[in-house]
Amino acid sequence: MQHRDAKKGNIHIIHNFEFENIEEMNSYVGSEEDLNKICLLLEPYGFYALKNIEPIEWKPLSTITINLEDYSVYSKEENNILLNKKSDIYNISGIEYECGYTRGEKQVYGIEVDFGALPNATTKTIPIPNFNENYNYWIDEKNSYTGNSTTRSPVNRSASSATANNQFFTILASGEIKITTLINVTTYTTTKIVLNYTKG
Amino acid sequence: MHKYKMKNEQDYRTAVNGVEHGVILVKREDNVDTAYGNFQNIFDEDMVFVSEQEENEINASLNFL
Repeated sequence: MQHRDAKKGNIHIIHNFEFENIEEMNSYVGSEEDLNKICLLLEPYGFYALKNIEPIEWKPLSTITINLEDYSVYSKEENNILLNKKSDIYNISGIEYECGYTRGEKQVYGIEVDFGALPNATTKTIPIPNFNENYNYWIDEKNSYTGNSTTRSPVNRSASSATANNQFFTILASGEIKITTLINVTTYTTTKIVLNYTKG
Repeated sequence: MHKYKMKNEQDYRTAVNGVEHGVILVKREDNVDTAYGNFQNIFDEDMVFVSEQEENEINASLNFL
């Protein structure tokens, strides 16, 4: 029976042949009329199309065959070790650490600088630890913050307006971090500036 | 220009003209904040004159962007 012959409500089994195992399937002697017909293989379960009869060749339908020996697979435990190692790399601290990625094919490093309290409508600077004029520095803005025991705020470069808690920062070529505030924000007693840099 | 070591984050001393604080720059080194500026009471015993060279460095630090 073909698709076109199936009446409404009838069951049409799409396979033309049924084999118990691969040996039985491959020992089938087909004819030209059998080409492109479908068989159901019971063990391992799957559908195959007859591509060639001499030699006999069945092709699996909609099946991807993967040879596991071609792959190196990490176990769950090995994955956990690698993930933990990655989090170690990203540990932000006051001593130089590797960020685990590159910029312009150069390793990116980081260091957290304790800036202390923000100033009262003036400018405050702090030297970059172990500053090297050949390094390329920038501020890791998303990991920098200012605040007190209950508040955390981003240390952003903002518009020059004295109507809000504005502070902006940049880095001196001579090796300093500089923050200028336009109002008294000394209640922001804890300020951490995270620097990133490449060595050259 | 004078400088003094700040006792805490609120230690902003009065300006020469008596209007608000006279601090123009705070430098933080080794967790110690030093305030630079022109102050009303220059006789505070913990205030010291800065050298001309140091004053030039302070001004240079203020002028960068």
